[in-house]
Amino acid sequence: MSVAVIVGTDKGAAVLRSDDARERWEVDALQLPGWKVTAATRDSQGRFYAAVSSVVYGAAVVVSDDLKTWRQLEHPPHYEPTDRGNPGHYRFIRGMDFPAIYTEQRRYIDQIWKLKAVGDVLYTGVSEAGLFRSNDRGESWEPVRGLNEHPTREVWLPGAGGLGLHTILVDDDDPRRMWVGISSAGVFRTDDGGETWEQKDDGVAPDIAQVDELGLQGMPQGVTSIESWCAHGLASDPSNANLIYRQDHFGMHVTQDGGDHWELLESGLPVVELGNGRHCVFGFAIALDPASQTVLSIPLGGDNMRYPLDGKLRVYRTHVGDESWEATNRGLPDDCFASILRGAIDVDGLDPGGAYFGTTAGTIYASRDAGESWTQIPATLPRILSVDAFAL
Amino acid sequence: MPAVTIQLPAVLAQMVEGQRVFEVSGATIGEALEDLVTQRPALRVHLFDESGGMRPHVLCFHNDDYARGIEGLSWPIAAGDRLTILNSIAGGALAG
Repeated sequence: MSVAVIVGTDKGAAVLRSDDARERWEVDALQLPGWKVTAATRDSQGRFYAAVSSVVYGAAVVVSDDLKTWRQLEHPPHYEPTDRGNPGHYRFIRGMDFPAIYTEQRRYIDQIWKLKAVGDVLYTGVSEAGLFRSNDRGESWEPVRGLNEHPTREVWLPGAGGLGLHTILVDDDDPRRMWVGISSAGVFRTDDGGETWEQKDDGVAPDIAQVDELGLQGMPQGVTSIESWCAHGLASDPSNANLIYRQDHFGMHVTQDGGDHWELLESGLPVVELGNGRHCVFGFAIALDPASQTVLSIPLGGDNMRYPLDGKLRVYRTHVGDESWEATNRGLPDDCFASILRGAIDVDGLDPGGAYFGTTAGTIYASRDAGESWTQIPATLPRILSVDAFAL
Repeated sequence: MPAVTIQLPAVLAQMVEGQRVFEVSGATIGEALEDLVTQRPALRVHLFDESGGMRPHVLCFHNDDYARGIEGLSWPIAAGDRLTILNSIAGGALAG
């Protein structure tokens, strides 16, 4: 048994490799130089997939069978010219369109934030937010229209990074049951394989935005304010899928019933003051180690200060069923003023569980005891966007 | 049809096994680029977006002249011409 970790950065990917002891690591950096690498997954036949993008050249999917050479798939997921863009997200597209080519409110894919293999099916979560499915190992993609054309779509409100679908969770006992997280529309669940989706944010405080203050063009007539739920990160054990942990812009939550109801779970976590005066736990990165049933979270100092509180990098842990969190600082610095992004944490699924996260300063930390203690991997990378770990 | 060459930047050539220079044919820049993405379909998403137009920050030079925007796609080309694909560079945090 061995482990590979694909670390996606602003300027390429690093591949970390170790045996199952996970004491020593080989770092192969940078692969795919110059490309932003935003997500990775591995399919049931062992092929690796990575999402790449460029502000100039758009987003695509590359594949590798050896984690050394990559081949681009010819037909990435794409929207149709007739798909209408979300008014808020379209502002992001137009903001980068200096030649003013985009004159219509179309829907474009600018990032692929999530790749996930579910059995023989591949899913991608993209920005502008949407979900795509491939039944032929990524050679072709079809939109999951039940979500992409959801009746609430026109009033989905983008977060600071645009309107992106960044998290996909599945129920191992019933793969027709899935959840997605969209910033900042909220969490949606399907029970019928993607045909229909229900928004699942009951119990989570929304952000309420006034349309005229935002200057949004193209909102449905009569809509003067928008409620949005900025779901930053989700984590679950697919074998116990109704229990989901959720880091939102406005706090850490848990659901026991697949998202029908959410409750705050912040005991032991650092509560901070946000820019709007609200006090809650703020952060993005969250993961669940299935072997030990440990949930890992890396809270930050607030939405104005997106680094660990007072620069003290801490991983907080709780066990499934517990009602409080405990911090660990073993192997972690007291002078970390970098952020940890939502995609930049993962677990390898081994027993004992390995966990990995990266910072926007390009540092990587690894644990082989489910997050109790950490070691810094000897490499300094560009800004880390994604971390995906695989037991081989 | 005139035969012309198209040169890609290194970052884009990675997506086609490192090949930098392609021989294509076409009567206009647009036809030459269409021949390129027909030969190498992986390049289509990088040069054109969902609307079918060229991505706004992809630059195409015809010999030593900048073939500006969408209008440039209709420029006539002659045998032996060189097309060069480059990308816009700008400062700012969003571009990294």
